[in-house]
Amino acid sequence: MSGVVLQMERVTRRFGGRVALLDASLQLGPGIVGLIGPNGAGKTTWLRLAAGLLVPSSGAVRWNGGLERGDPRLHNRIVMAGDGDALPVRESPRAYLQLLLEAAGLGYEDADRHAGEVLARLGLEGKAEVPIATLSRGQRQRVKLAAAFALPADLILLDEPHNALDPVWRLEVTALCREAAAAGALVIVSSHILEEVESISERLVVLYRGRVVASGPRDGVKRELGRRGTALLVRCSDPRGLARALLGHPSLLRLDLDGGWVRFGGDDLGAIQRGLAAAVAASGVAVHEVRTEGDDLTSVFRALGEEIR
Amino acid sequence: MAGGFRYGVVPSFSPPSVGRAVWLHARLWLRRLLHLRLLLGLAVTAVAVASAAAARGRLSPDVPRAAMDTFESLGLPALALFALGLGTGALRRDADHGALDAFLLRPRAAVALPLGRWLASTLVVTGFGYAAVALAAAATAAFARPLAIERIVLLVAGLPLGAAAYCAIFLAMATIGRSAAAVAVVWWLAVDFGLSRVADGLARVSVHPALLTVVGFDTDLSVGGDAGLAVRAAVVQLLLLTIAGLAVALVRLRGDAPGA
Repeated sequence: MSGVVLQMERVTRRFGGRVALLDASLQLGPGIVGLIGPNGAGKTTWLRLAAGLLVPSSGAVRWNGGLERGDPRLHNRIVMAGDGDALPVRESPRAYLQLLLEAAGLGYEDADRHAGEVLARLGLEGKAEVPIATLSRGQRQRVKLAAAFALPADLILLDEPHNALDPVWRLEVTALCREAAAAGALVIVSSHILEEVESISERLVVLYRGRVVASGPRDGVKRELGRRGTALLVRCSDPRGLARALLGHPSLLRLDLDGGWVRFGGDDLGAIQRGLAAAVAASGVAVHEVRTEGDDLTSVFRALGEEIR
Repeated sequence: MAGGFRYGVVPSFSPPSVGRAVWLHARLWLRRLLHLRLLLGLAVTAVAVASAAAARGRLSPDVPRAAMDTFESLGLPALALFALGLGTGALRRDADHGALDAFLLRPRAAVALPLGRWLASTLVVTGFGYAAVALAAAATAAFARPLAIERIVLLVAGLPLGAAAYCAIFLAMATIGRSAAAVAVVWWLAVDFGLSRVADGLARVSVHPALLTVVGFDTDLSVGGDAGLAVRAAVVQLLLLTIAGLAVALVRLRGDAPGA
């Protein structure tokens, strides 16, 4: 599969009076995309719209170059491992996978054999016949992922796939994502474990309060958000005095005091640094330490939160 | 890691047509439904209903409808209750755990899954009804008096219609959300089983009075033409209720998937 796998055009989704996603537009082709945002940002709504499980209040979602929701050509082309349990807890992992595979069109025996192989890849061969309700959270997570990767698809949506997994299985899931992307799938990984999204994704979509605030190649998005999110942390003898001296600087957007530290946030770090040097020289405040903040996604979230607030 | 699975390597298969997908979902749902606990529950209830009908028939030899009255007051509510559990469970059992999504991601599943599960539930409920009728007929013949053959024929013809209508209505209610079972119980007790006996308008949107007419409990067969007309009207009512229930379920599932 090449070209556009998922296309959103001005998609808005409301639940009653609450707007969960506002005016989201983007086009994504094959590869691994990280969907990031703090809790309540609208990630799950975005994923369910992308999966066709929710209908947009306005706007349009299309797949594989323009197919509409319900098009029979999308049979088995979209899979999703949702957040939470999202499993029939009375069934065994093998019976569940077999059900899904048979519903996809595989025969009984092929489905049974294939289910066994997928579960073995995810280390569940010893738990294949017990009820899902008796499995640990990590094992349940692996059952969901086994269901998501069992058949080749064009769009694979994974909501917090690394939740409850130990490091070994996180690596294995990352390997499966890469295999799927290499086979031409668009794999969308939603997570609040930011470091994992950074390491696995080629592109990022950043959601905040129901809005897509940034999307594109990972490094470009980070650079753009980092520019907005960068701050200077200064430990000095008189934080209040230094803060007062820089108050009113045209590039200064945020100012925090924390113990002996003062944090200057803004959209032009160089201008703030020059202003800070002048303020230090004029006030005679002794500066003990200066740090730069803002080149990791955690800082970006913090900056976004402050900017939109 | 262990295992021979590599992403993308899968046995060849072709997507099922809509008709095959409906039957596939029915078969898969039957496989999940027919576990020992449910079968035991169905069997014990059928035996209990049949025994009560036979005992009543034997104890009241002078009352010609005694066995039938007992079957009406125990068997039909039991049938409705099984339909309630299976009809609402057809969606809620998976939806309450968020497990319906994996099935509904396939475009045809929004039609095939509810129809298939409705079909499977109707078959199980009808099977229960037939088992209860067969046991009641056998027990009544052995211990009391034979059931009139025309009544048995009406029961055999009417029970699938009633089961289909109940399961379709409860399936439609299952799309409401987590409160589906509670809403279904209230509707069944208050409207279908309660007010429909006194309010003619409510009787038109209820299964129980129509089912009573079709299976002959509310019909004096000796009347002839008028009774035949009433039975035909009741059959049409049950069919319309079935179609309406399924239509509501299908329309609702074309919208948002019922998540957890």
